[in-house]
Amino acid sequence: MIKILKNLSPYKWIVLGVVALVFAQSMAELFLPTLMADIIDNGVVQGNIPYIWRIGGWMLLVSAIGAIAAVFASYYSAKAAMGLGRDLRQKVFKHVGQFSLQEFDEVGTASLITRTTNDITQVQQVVIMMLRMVISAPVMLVGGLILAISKDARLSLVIIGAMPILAVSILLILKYGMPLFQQVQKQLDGLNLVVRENLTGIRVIRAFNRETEEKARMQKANRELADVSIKVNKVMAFLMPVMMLVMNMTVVAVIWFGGIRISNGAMQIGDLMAFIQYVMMIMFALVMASFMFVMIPRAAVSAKRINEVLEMQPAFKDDGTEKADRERGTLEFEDVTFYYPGASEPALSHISFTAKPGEITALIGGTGSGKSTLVNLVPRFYEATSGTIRVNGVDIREASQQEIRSKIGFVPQKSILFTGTIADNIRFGKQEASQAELDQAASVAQAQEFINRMEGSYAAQIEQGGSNLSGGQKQRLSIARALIRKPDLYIFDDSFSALDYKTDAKLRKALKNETKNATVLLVAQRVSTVVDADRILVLEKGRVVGMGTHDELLESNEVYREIALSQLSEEEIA
Amino acid sequence: MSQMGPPRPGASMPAEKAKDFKGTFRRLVSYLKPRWKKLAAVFAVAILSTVFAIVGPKIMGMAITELFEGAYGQLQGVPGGGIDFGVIGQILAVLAGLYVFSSLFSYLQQYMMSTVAQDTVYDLRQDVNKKLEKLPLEYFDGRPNGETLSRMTNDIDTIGSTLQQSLTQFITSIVTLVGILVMMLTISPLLTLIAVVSLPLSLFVIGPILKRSQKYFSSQQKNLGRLNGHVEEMYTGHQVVKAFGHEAKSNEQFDAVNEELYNAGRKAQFISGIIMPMMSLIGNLSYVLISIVGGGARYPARHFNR
Repeated sequence: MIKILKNLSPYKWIVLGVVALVFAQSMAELFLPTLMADIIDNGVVQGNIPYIWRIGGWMLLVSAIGAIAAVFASYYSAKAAMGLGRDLRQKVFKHVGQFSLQEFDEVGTASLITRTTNDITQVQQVVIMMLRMVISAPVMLVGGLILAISKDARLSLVIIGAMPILAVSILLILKYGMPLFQQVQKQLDGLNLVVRENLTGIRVIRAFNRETEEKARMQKANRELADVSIKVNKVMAFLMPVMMLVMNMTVVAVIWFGGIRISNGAMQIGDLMAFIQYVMMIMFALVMASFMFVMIPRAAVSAKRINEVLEMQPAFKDDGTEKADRERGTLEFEDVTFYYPGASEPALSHISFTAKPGEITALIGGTGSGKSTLVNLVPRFYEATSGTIRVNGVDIREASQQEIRSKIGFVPQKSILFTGTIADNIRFGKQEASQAELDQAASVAQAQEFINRMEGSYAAQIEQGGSNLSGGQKQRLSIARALIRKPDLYIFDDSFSALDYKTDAKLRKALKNETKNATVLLVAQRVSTVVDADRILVLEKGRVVGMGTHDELLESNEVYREIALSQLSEEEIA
Repeated sequence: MSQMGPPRPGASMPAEKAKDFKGTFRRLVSYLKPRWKKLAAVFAVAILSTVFAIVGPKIMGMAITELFEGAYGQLQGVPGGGIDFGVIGQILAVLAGLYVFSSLFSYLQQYMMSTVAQDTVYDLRQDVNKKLEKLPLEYFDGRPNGETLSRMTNDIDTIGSTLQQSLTQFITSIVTLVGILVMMLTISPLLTLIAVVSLPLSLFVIGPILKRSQKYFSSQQKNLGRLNGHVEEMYTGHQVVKAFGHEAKSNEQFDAVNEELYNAGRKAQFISGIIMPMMSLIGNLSYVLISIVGGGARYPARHFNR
């Protein structure tokens, strides 16, 4: 938390100003009941109207000063806290921007999002409350006590009695409540886990009819979360009523004992009024203080999560300076091995191959064979553990990531589109692209037809995540986005899966022309997609178990033949 | 002093406006329907608790008036003057009883509401899960898992805490408003004068502030929504952003929205921070006014119990 608060340092003068202003405001508030008492005892009771005028004037002046101080305090505290929030968000967002996929895997995308948004908002809210309360609560508490005692020391015994009751009951509730809050978080994470597993494993679950078991698991997690949430809310339900009860009862006691004091002539009625106000102030300050005790630890959790992100360094450096244009349109893997962080088995081992301009290199193999991993190494989303990858004849570590990636047209497995128009999304590949270039890329990607059918055609809006398009449409746009770059190297990571066979075939034919001077790296599930590749790499458990053309592999490779037979009819193979 | 504590804007919720508010609301109501008996009980105790809390100050005013008159009589040397502790004791006993019941009911309200809210949330999650089972695989291919995940967990969670807090707060606010109006009607002409003097004044001062605050708050929420959307898109599309070298542009867009959020948030927080001091300034002003108008009369005592 303290580390995060250090980010307030650009605002330190503002913060100091807020402290001074809040102090002034608290003092003004403390002074008011005394003036009120004075008006009653010396003005109202004695019917002295000029006196009321005079003290009344003072009262207004003091409360005006208090109000002005409060207004400025509010202005500057908002400025400091919101400024802190803005700076932190920017810092975290820029920092995360430098992460490789490795860090994204480690923290989790969803978690990174919450850390950048909710966690920072949380901290920001607490800072603004702290700025306003951390000074006023103690000042009101101590000042209220002093003034109450000065009004009537013996009556103050009531407060002295009530304060511990209030403090102990609040702390007691929090003591029971806080661990429950943590439990809620734990159960929420538990539910998160079940839902996430259900989502990622949806194919497996459906294929093996595991729906009933998964449903039961989900129901259990859901019930547990609901139960612990009910429990925590039932405990926290005590908080407000108990606080109000203690406060109100204290006032009742003050009126009773104060009445006795007045009757004995030991106290004036106005002083009693002031006293009641002070009691309220003191109790209120105590309540504020206990809230701080609740809020700060919760914000501290958020602060810790933000710090974790800021302290995380990208696993590898981006310090290459070479230009990547020695041999255009070539890709070379030289004995590349890759371990995911913390894994004991390699995800890829000893991969070597060379691809020349105009060639198509296809990767085929089962789930978890390392196909996607391999293509992700090329744009340096991950760093190979050993071995060398060359793009355009240049070791990818010797050029900047930006340079390498500018040579690549990447089509990811999941078609990710962004909010904006169709044109915006295709231009994502090349910002200054002309309409003619857009048309060309769209028509190669077989996207022209459905774009023209859309309202506004290229200006049609895509919603967040592309939810208003079908899977195949998204895939074609994501292909057009790569095509428009006219890169030296195309990477298609299982990018035709959502297309029907006809479109798939048409697209591959059109691509052939487009990629004459470039090399193509292609991950595929369907054998029909790879039939005319110049080179097919058959992967199994991260190893190349076969390399060659379709015909060669059918002849010589057991694994490939099995895959082919499961998909194609006899005559198609022949 | 206000019983509500400082106004706490729901600034921490990244709110996007529902596209079909009516339909969404109706659906939520359909989830609450099976629990209408419990909900009715919650509302009943909420109303009782609020009524008691409003009547409290009036009874306290009676005690203080009694005290004041007694002390005043004693001071003036009126024969038979002095404080009648029997009466005060009775009033205070009633007052204490009222407060106990008010707290009790307010506890009961929260207690019962926690079951209603969480069971509703439970049902919602079960139904979402059932629906997910029926959806075709394309649905899951079509969007990042994180999106579905956050609907299932965070979004539904937000519904839960909103049900727990805001629904009953809504009821008590209405009751409080009505209750205070009734109270004002039962109180002396002089207090009506305060109302006449300070209410338009409050409206005059608070009205524009509230109007602006609403504007700034909605602008803050809107920008927060935009920022969250941008972060979500850029993080889920991280691979693509990097592949196409869009980091700089993405940062640029982020900075622009972030700056707007800062400006809107700053204003919203500022406005929400000055409502309380403004109210108390007006309160003090009216207090002095009554003291002066009332002169020697004994009315100010009552005013303490606003």
